[in-house]
Amino acid sequence: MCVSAGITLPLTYDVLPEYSVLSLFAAGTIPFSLKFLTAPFLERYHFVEYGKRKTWVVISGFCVALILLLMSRLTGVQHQVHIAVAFFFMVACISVQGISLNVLALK
Amino acid sequence: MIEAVMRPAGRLCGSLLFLKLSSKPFAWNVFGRTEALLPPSTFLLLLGLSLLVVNTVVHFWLKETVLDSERAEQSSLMEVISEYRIFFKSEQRYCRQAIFFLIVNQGNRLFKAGFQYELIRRGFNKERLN
Repeated sequence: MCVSAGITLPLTYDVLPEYSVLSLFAAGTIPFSLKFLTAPFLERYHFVEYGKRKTWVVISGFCVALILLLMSRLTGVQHQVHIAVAFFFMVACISVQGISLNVLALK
Repeated sequence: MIEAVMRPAGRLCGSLLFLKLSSKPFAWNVFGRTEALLPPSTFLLLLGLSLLVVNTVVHFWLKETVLDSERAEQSSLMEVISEYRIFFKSEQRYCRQAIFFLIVNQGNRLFKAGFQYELIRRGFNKERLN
């Protein structure tokens, strides 16, 4: 999952993106910093029978895969803002999966 | 600890793998090809598909045991939100921990793009990295 997070910024190295676009990429890592706010919601909302942590591991994993498939259509220079927005949602999903996997490992 | 190491390592490996596979000079020097081994779109497509496969396997393979205590009645959303007050009590270590994570993970990059912008402005690009 972290490999997925690492490949998006090099997409912009071909040309100099606008300052705002790079700031968007930087802001895209905010979900990693806000894990402590996300965790109680993951603790509250889940499908017990499916698995308390497995629920979010699988859902966020599929979301990351779908976002990557979407990003494979957005590699042009004109799509820099779209890539940054997709990056934000992908990082959000990765942080959710990170929380769930950590708890699963501790359990 | 594991996450602290694995996340930067994963990002580093992902970046390097992507840069090498999508580089024309790398493909020419190593394999004698005039085109990159994998265009960015193909790389993302393959990564997305591989993650779909991995998650399908996890869906069928991972069996999580549900404890009886976890089947008990869930707390309400407001009760969950009320727990956040612990992050605002300066004498609690959770407050200090939250501040620490916000500083470490975000730094001052929220409003200034920082070194990445400066690197690219001074001529840093994908081929130079390769």
